[in-house]
Amino acid sequence: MRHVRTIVAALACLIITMSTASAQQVEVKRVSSDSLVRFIKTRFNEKVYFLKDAEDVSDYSVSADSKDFVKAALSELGAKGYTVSSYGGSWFVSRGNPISASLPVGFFDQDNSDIVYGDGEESNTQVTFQNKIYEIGEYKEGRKGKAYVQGYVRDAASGEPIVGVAVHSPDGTAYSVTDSYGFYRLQLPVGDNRLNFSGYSLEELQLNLLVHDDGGLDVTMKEMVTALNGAVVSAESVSHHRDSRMGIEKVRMNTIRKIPSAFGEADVIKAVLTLPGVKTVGEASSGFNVRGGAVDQNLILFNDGTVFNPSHLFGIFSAFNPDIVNEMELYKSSIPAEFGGRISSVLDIHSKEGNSNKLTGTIGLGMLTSSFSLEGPIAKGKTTFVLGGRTTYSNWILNMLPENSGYNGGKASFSDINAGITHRFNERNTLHANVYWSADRFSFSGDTTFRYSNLNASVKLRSQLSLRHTMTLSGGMDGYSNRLDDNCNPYTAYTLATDVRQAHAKADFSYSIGQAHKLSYGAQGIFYDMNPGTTTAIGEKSFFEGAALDKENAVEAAAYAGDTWSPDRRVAVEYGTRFTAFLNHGTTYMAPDFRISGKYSFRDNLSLKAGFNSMHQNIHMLTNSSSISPMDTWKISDERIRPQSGWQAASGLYWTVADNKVDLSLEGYWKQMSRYLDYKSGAQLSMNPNLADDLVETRGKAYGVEVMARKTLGKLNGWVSYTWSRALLQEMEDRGIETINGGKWYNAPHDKPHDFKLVGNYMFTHRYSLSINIDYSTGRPVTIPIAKYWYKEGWRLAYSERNSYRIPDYFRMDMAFNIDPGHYLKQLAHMTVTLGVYNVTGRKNAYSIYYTNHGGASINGYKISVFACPVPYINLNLKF
Amino acid sequence: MKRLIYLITAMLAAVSCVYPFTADISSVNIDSIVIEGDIIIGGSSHFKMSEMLAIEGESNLQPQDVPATFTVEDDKGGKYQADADGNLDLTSAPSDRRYRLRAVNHNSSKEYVSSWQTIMETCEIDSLSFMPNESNGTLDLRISLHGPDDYRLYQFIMDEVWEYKAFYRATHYYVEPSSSLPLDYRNSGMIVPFENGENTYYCWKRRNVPTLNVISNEDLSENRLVNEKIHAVPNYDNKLSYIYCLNVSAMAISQEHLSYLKHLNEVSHYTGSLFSPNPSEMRGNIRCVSDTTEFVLGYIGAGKLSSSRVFYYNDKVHFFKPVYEAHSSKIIAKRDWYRSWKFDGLLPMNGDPVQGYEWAESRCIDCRLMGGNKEKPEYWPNNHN
Repeated sequence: MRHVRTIVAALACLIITMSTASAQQVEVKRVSSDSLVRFIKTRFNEKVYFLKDAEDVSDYSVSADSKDFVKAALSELGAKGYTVSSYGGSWFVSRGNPISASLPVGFFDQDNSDIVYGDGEESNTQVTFQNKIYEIGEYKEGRKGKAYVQGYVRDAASGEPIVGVAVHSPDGTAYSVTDSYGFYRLQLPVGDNRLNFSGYSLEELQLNLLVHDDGGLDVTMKEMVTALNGAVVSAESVSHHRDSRMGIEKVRMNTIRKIPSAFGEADVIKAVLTLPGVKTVGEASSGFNVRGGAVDQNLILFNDGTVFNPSHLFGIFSAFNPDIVNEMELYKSSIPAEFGGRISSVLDIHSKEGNSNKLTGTIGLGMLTSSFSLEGPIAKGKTTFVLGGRTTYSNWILNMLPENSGYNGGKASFSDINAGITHRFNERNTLHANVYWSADRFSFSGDTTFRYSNLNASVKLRSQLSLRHTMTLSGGMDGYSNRLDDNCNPYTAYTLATDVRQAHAKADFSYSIGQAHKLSYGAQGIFYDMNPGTTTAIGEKSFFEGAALDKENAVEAAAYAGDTWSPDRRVAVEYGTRFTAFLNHGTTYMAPDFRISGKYSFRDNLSLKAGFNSMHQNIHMLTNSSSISPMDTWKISDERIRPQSGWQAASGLYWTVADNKVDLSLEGYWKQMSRYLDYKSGAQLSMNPNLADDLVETRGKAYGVEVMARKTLGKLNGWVSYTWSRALLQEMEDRGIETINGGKWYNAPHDKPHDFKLVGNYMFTHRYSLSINIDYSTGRPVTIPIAKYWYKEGWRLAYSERNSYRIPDYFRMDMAFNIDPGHYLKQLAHMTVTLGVYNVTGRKNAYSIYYTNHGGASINGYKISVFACPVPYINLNLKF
Repeated sequence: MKRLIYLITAMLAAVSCVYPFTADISSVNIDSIVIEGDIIIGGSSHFKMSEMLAIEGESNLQPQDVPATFTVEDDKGGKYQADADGNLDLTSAPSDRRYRLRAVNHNSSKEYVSSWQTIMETCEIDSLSFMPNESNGTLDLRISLHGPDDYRLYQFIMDEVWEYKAFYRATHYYVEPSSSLPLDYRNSGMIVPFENGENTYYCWKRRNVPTLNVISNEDLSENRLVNEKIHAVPNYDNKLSYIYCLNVSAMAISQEHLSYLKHLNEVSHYTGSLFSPNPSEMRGNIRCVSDTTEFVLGYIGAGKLSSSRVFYYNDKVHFFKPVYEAHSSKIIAKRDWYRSWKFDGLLPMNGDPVQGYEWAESRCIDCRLMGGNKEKPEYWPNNHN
């Protein structure tokens, strides 16, 4: 067929030549639109900007007098559905709206960037910027092949970068997605191009480009306020099928805000829990388990800083202020080589950059907390800031306790502060600085106080070294400290302190080689400074003898390199390796990690992916309980405590159906871990100089299948998922009859085989919407008493094998009604009101099980239900 | 730490509720042996062997002892055999030897032996005291002791005795109808005055404190405890209504023994919260001679006791917050005496044949019906009976 076309084209050229030779009459026969335009350009020296419709396979025959030929040809194109317009002596030919001005649009001029997308007034005029042609690069005679086009996508209203916008040519040959800085880069053929920009809840944009050479194109996009039912292809769907990586979950803050939660506060970690493959041991706990991994195997990054305890108030709230968070990404399967140090997952959370146009802020009022945030420009177009804080008034919960409980005088509180500054030195260099601080404190009867605090500070410089080379340098320090003040007896009063501190520095580079290869490489260094435990006496009376365990220092150095190879739109492979060396005094651990993932798209909406990754972990959380507890501390690997390691192999099928509105996915995984720490009976975890004696190493295996349907756009949006999975552990060493469960495989504390989740939101109008959240899972495994015996004047309990029983299945449904502010631009403040009910059905889910014979003749089992009845809430958020 | 676990559970309890839970554990095989007792040098020991029981069922009765022979051995070949009830007097046993227990189960003929224990000196208890803790609503019992630096780990063995009173003080008591009574009273029964201070007004009750109380002094600059809380009694508990006494015996124990008791205490009391340690079984120091893989419950320690006691008088401190109850009395005619005693559960308390006798509910008159008895400890600080 292709041969036949070539012959036809050759014949057509022959006819043209013959005709022009014979007379003033010019005639072309059966040529393609391309050939016709080229003929006009060369024969008549006309300036014609032509954007060919990819579906145009028509043949064109034009016969006219020489002086009328251009008009005749253009009218022939017009007859075939093209729109022809002229401006400044040039012709513009395209399908759809007439094309207009090709003035240099000032994309490279920061000060004018606001006007790129028309505001309300301009959008009503006939000439929108979509109809313009943007010239990229300087015209060079004879420049052929492809050129790099790169730039930033920002929000039209706030000027903040937008992440996850799909940037692609209509035929999909060129493709990129904006990163967390809103940056994209792709390769386009020199000449006329059309580029699509589409992102979640953003108005889709199509730009006409005339690419001469490498160049930049910054774009601002506007939030979509119309067309709830619009048939827009979501950026997620596009990137889903283009990206070779799998198991990446991205949830935006405006989605998180709609997910009902206890006490109504939008919560990043609670939103993570609604995703398939993520589980938690109890509803009042912030720790989460990803695909059978333990809670300390998740790397939680907040602006590149590691957060060691992501919870407030025993897990009722997460550590992240929802007014500050911009977006979060959870990597549960394919983990890019730039990340390392934990074997299960990476939760990457970024805060906002700050509004670059005007000062704005929020005030939030909840049942237990209130919050504020403020953001705005410091130097217009150059420097922005963002500031946020939260505090609590949760003491009323403790005051609800009965007088005789002994806790009536208890107090619990937390606060946190976020601050960030972004400074743009110039088009190529941007500096980000962020600080996060949080403090939790609780006490009871004034004699025991518990405190913990997170502190993260980081600086990041992002630099465009060249049009194809980007560098990100970052550094900072993270801290987590724990304090226990025991004042029960003034003669033995003491403070117990533990601290984790780390300083980190990182250099990441990204380098594009053509459209097909995107290299990433870099290095990272972490210096650990750990205080495993120090005790000191409090007060003059105390004769407590202070003690200190030896401080520990270690260095972790890593280098990585990876490549994303996408030879065409059907195939993409990402592969990389990361080499980590960990030095703790005389002990050195070195290990390579391997990451590979690949995809094959059968069609644009149907892809198959597979991946493998291996990971190592040199820092371990010491906990003897099922959940993250405020008493947990961290320990780095040493001579006797070896690094944990793990690998995961996964595969998935992705299918976008229903007019590109619904993404279906099916993922399966197999995961193995080794040297995960478990504890001997009676293990002492605090102030133990011979800690390794009380620990045992276990191996773990986890496997499962996750099915999910997700609809991100439209009146009805949300996702529904079902997961079947197992997570099992086995002690690695044989310690005779003391081996856990006799050396057999046993259920991990978070092994909950069946898991059904639904998050749905229905928008009645732009202002009113109803959200629903359903969570069903098998009950978590527990160790329960199976027998009793009389010992030392009382009944004592004998326990089953570890985790061999389960608490009853868990089911919860929450609903919320959201009233969003009206779109009156002139209004000074916008109020969002959320009314909701947590646990609508009032199901008495078991939080935990205990046995007691207090006040009775027999030993009875009881289950505690944390939220045993529907819990209503109201939350107000004022935006100004 | 334990208090923290309580706090968290209590905080969550503010919005939570508790419901019964049962698990299907019918298929579990329960056959472990429990051996209990400490080798008390310079005092008397009590050993017993029992069996583990299914968790369901009544718990108000202690399990039947398994018939067994107990012999204490020292490392110089000395043997001391306990009597059939498991009691053994080791008042004259030397303390510079190591001891262990050998036990033979008469049912299975299996022999068990504990690990060798060195005898550690236990320092004298300096004082026991109590302090009303208004914020917790408990009477806190506190101990002070100090001693040489060598032995800093203690277990406390405690029992409590309290004297309480019936609601009414009866001057008379009822004698049920019988042929030995004067003819007039053969059908009605007879009301007779108490003599020689006899009464049903004062009673005593005794209870071993089941708390596994262990304390480590190792973190302190000297081997000294000052006012360390070892027990607490709620202020609404009837124990505090009149005179309360706590008997405490301290015994220095080994690190291994302390870990065992501490672990047992934790898994017995601090389970249930997500933040509490995952429960697990810890092996004690007793092995079956013929099968060392058999799981035997219990830890046999050895040591010396140092004892003391403290009294609380509610008349002086007034910390007891009684839960009030109302009682009524009435005069009952002689013809109704028997019926009132037999069927209405009433007892006479005072009066005379002319005015008639006042009767009230028996449990308001006879303190023994509230679980106590008239066995007054010899050390009790008052002189009524």
